[in-house]
Amino acid sequence: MSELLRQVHFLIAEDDEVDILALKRILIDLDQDIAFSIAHDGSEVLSILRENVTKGDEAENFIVLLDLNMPRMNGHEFLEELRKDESIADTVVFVLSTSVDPRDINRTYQHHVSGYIPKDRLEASSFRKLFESYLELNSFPQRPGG
Amino acid sequence: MKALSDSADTPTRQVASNSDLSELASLRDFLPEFGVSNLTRKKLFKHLRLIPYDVLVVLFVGQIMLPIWAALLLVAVNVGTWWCYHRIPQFLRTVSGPDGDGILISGPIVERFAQFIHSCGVHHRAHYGLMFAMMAGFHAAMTGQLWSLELSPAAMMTMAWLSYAALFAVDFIMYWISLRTLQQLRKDKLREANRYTAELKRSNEELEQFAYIASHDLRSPLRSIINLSNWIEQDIGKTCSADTREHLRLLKSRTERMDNLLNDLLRYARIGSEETSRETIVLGELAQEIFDSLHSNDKMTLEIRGGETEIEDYRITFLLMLSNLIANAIKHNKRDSGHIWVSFERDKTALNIIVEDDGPGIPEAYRSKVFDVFSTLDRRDTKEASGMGLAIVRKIVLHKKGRISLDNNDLGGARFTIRLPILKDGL
Repeated sequence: MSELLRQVHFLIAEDDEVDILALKRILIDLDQDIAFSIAHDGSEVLSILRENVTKGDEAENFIVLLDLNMPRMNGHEFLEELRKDESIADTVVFVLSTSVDPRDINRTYQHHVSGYIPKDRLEASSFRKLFESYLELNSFPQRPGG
Repeated sequence: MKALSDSADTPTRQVASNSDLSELASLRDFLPEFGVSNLTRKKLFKHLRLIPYDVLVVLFVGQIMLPIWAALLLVAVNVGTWWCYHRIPQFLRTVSGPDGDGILISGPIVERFAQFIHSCGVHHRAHYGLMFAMMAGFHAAMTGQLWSLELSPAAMMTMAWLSYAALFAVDFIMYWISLRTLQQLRKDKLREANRYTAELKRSNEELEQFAYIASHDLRSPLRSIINLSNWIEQDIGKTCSADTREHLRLLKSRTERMDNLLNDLLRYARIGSEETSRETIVLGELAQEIFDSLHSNDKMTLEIRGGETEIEDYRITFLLMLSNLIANAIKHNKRDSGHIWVSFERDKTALNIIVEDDGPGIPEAYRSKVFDVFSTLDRRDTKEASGMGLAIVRKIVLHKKGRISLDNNDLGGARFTIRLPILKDGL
């Protein structure tokens, strides 16, 4: 099962140290070799994604785990910029947030996120189940020559 | 605005609508006293007193009718005397004195009367003026003269009618001024009430927002602390010293308490602003549900009386009230077994709820304190109590314009008595 988890590269967009630790622990708990990167604000995520595009064939399948409260460019702003940039607009994004405000939720879905997970419901086993099933069933956007 | 319940010592949110105020204040409280000679607004304010509106309407109408009666009488008198003058000259001449220029009512008396009228206010002046006009008409009709003027009976009639019209005009003007003043006062009162309500609303919203932000932003680092302490426990829990293990346990319990406190604080701030809808609640079922979810061991038993009582209201408010009261009873029971009684009773005007137990009870000295925010009677760490439970209950009761009281029952346990008035459109 962890084969599937290795196919993707998790991009954690989060600025709170302890929340990053929590995610790291969950990911490493699932698979020692799981690939992940950490970005602290929206613009960092964008640059990582854009750099990835330039890799052509070697480009990885990113799944962005996005927190809404980040400095400089927060989650909502990031989503706007992401969907505007055609080269990376098809990126898969799951929102992980403390907020359960319907306004936040709806706003992210306006930007076509793949899911919205409140942080207090997040724990290792359900995370694993979710992404294992997801990867089992899902096809990523097909890149030319990829 | 004064609070309506005598146990409500915090202002509850009131939004005044037009219809509320029109019933309350405007028409009954702001009516000018009659007989005020100078109808300036300042004087009206000084002479405000409560007159039932209906009585006033009768007075006004009666007033208007009075000139009509007087007019009719005047017409009758004038027509009558004119008729007499024309048809029975002999009769008139007999009462006009031997020389023909004596009159039924002597001149000086008429003059006195005229002076008296000038000293009265406009209001009285108008009415006495009418009477005078009647008398003058009568007088003039009898002699064919009005203050040494040669006037025909037709002219007399015209004068009489004119004086009636003048009286009517004065009356109408007075009525109109009163009405306008009334409207103005009502508008002022409404504006003031709206301003007060808007301020109250704004201050409530600010408070809610503050509580929301405070609890929300405080919970974030708290969550981190909880996570970290869990991880530490996971990583070293097996190999650390007993002291460290104890410290970790205390750490977890304190963070749990803080989490509860913030939760309760948030809930407390939110009371009154829920956006759910009313539903029919079967109170006995709700109480049983709450009890089942709260007590984990078989220490306590619950007896419900009047459980089939139903009420139509927001479920969350009753849920919070009952769960805090029942949880309170469970928490404070120190013995191996305990009993809780919950009774519901509904009559035409109110819903009565009594929650009592056979626990240690609450000493009289502390009975009002327990309802304060952040007050607990036991050491905090023995109960992980936030101290907010009863404060929440009280806030809900006051929000429903009800009353809550506390005493000890015959068994020495605490007894909370709540009375919630049922208004026309539900609680």
